[in-house]
Amino acid sequence: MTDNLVAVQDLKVYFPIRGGVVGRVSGYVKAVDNVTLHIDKGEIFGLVGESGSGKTTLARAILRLVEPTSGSIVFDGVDLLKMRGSPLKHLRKNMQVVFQNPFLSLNPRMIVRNQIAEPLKAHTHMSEKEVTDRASELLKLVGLSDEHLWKYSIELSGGQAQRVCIARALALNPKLVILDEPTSSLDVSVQAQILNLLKDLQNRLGLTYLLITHDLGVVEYMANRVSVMYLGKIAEVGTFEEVFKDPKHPYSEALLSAIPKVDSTPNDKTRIILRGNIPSPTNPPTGCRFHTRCQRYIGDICRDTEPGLTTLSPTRSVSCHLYKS
Amino acid sequence: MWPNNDEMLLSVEDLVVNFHTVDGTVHALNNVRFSIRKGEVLGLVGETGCGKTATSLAVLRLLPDNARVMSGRILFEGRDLLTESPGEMAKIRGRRISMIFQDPASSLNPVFKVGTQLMDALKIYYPNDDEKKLTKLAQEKLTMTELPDAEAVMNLYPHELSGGMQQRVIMAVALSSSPSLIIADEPTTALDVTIQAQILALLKRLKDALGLSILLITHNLGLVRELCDTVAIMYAGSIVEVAAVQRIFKNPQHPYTRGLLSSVVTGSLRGQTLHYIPGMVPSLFKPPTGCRFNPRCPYMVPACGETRPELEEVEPNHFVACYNIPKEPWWRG
Repeated sequence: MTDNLVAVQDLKVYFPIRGGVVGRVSGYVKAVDNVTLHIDKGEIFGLVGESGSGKTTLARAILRLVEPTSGSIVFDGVDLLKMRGSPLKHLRKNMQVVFQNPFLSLNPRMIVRNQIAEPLKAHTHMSEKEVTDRASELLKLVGLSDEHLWKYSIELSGGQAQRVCIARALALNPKLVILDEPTSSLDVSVQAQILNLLKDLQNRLGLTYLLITHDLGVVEYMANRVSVMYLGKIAEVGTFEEVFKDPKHPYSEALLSAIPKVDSTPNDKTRIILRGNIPSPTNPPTGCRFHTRCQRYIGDICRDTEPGLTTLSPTRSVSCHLYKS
Repeated sequence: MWPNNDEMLLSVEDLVVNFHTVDGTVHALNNVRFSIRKGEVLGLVGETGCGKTATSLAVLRLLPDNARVMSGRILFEGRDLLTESPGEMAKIRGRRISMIFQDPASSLNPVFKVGTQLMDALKIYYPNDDEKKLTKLAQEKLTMTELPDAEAVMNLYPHELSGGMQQRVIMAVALSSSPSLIIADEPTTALDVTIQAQILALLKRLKDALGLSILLITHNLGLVRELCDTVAIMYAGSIVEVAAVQRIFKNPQHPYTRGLLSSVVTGSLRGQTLHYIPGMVPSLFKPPTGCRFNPRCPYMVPACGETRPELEEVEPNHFVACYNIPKEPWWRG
């Protein structure tokens, strides 16, 4: 399919657990386990799940910041995992990332102009003057002005600092921007401004976003398609309407019902409160990984057999025995 | 305006607190006033730096050394906490008023077993009971917070527990003295959504079973709608609006409350540009005169820049501090 910007196939990212004096491998944290998904050009793909579900590891694998154990990642028609050296560096221009806490992503000892200049210096041969002009242009794009060029990050508010991070991510005209909890550390009214900006930039520049967040309100507002992850696996994937209006996987159902809502009166009767805790990814449950907490457990099959994704419609797949025909 | 009867548990009146720093004086709390009845859950809501936590620390008299209480009273069970001696205060703190913090992992000591930490608290509150009786009591408290197998949990170290279980232990410690007021500062923010729902349900059950009053400090408006009876909205050190939770969401009056509620992102706003409050939170070194929201307020009138508006009752039990309450109906009820 040529519409795909990113196609991930059977991706596994295992982190070895070493112990003892010789550092023998005693087990693996299966952070991402057999994940298959694709991100279309120009869409906002939302990835939701709780901590430890593998959202960020998946994003880091796409950025090749961690080496996958097996599987393939095709980025813009190129097999990413076969790339080495300068072709890889070249390809990396096309993928950028914005993290949760802007003050940790910015160097407190560098002025804004120099931080935005870093990617330009690494990938282009611009003169100092051209770099300054480009930085100034980028700041305008994200709603800041030239005066911010010469400031340090401590002189910025949280919202302004996140705008600088977005400007830096856009410096090389990337195709894919990974947004890892881009508004989670910001106050509500600032969050709204940053989301407006991200949406506007996406329209103007034709960007593709991979939006990782645990804030389901943000995903429902922004995303075209959504994938719900649980313990390293995809529980469900579909368009935002499918997933939010009619969640199929018991975990998505519980997750959506658990969010305290602002725009409706609370209703304890419809809320599903899951039992127990999220199991450890070092020793995940057998069969369906959700079976230990599932409110719709149907029997031994859940405990013994891994469900695998069932296709329900051209846009929608669910990994649950309830939907196996 | 504030009924001062037997029902009242905590009442904060005109509290003014400044912090003295090398860069100058921070005017952190500016005539804060609110009250909590017995069995009531009051949500103190506002953005970062608006003084929510400073207010709770003032109630517990735990403000840092550079803080000065300039004026005001904090009446709790008929006593003014600001005039109590440190010795008396130590008896109230923990015993009558307990606190639950945001990050359960940093509230527990990593090198002591959960049981030891809970027992330490119980030994203070029940000095005449022997070890055996206290152990039983500790297990009761842990069972109260719905921790399965309390006996086993007592022998675990904090790192062996998940975040949700740690928060349950913290709640057991907070409840160990049978306090009448619990101050919960962002009690579910550090937890995952499904665990958050468990803790929220537990808080509701405990509140009803024990008749607790809770001062809930949070920026999560969804949580407020779930748990609170009354909401106090705080902006830059002042309370700008107080009302029953349904009223705040159905018919907010103060321009800041409206701005705040407008900016909450939900799926129902898809396709629309999100509302936000223009400008930035003012520096509390030199806060704006009059209403501190006036530089950002679309409804500003000349009086707003001159004197601070007092909280006034606009309908029964709905207090707003504003000279020019917006007349248009609220769009998001």
